[in-house]
Amino acid sequence: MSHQRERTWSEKIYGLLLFAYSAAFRREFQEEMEQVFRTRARAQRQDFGFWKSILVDWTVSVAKERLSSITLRGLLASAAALAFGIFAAYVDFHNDEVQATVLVIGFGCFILGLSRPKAAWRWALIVALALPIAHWLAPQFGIHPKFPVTPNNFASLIALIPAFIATYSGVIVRRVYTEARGA
Amino acid sequence: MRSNRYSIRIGIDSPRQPRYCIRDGYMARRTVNPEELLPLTPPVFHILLSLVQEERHGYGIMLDVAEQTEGALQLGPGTLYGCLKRMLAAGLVKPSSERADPDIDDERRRYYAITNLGSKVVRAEAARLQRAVKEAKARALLPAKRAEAAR
Repeated sequence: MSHQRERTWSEKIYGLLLFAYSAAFRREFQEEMEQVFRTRARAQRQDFGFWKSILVDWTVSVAKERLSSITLRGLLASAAALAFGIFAAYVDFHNDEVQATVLVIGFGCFILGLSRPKAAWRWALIVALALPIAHWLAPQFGIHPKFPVTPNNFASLIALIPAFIATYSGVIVRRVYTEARGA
Repeated sequence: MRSNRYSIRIGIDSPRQPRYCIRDGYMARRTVNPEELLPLTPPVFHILLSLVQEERHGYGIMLDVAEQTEGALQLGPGTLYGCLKRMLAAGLVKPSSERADPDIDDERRRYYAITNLGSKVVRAEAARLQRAVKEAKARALLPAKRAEAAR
């Protein structure tokens, strides 16, 4: 079903929108969806109504597709990542040095990367971003850290570095272990 | 020893569940009762309806559904292929051949065909809707047959 001709700008936009679907869904249907879009775009005038219907359809179907792919294990892993993130923020609020926080982030991300290696970047993001979010949100509820982040809350984004290193260390250990078992 | 029996309910809303059941300690293919899959969502019902008489490709299904419903149901590509994914997983439709549709252009398109299970399910859904229409008529929500004929 491949097509060699030049893609129009609307086809390129629609192609980009399709990245919101899961990789498995795209593998199966991307080409057909682009083909249907192309045929429809040729048959109809591409006015506001056309794009509105495409965007509504895209939003609803992406939400359905993403929700249907949520598993209990995935939910539990997300909850665990959030718990590690909140705990890391708690530790960070009560320590003037970063070592303890980095240790919590590192341990949590390593365990999550080890146990759920698929799309492990999610765990690093959840754990690490909990820190700046907690620093922004907590003062709104009257909770002030004993040792505020200096120079500002953006500095806590540096937690992304240990989070990604630890997560992908877990992923690598899991891969090496799996390969060693298979050999 | 008494064996454990577990049955896995299948539905087109849960495409990831296999159409198998664990019976007497081993996996066996399960005979699916079409009634278990009812009620169908409007897009699924109309997609099955469009495939009853002939195989169609995605765009062909979209056009036929719009025609069946007099434009009330316009399937977008996302809705269409989301439904097809679940219907393929539930065994209601199957991919057929890939070929060009001379009425549209020379691009090769994947055609879809209804399965035996899909035929049974759409028939069961049509019967269910017929019962609903009958009930609506009995409650004077729709004109009765005699009144229609008189008009």
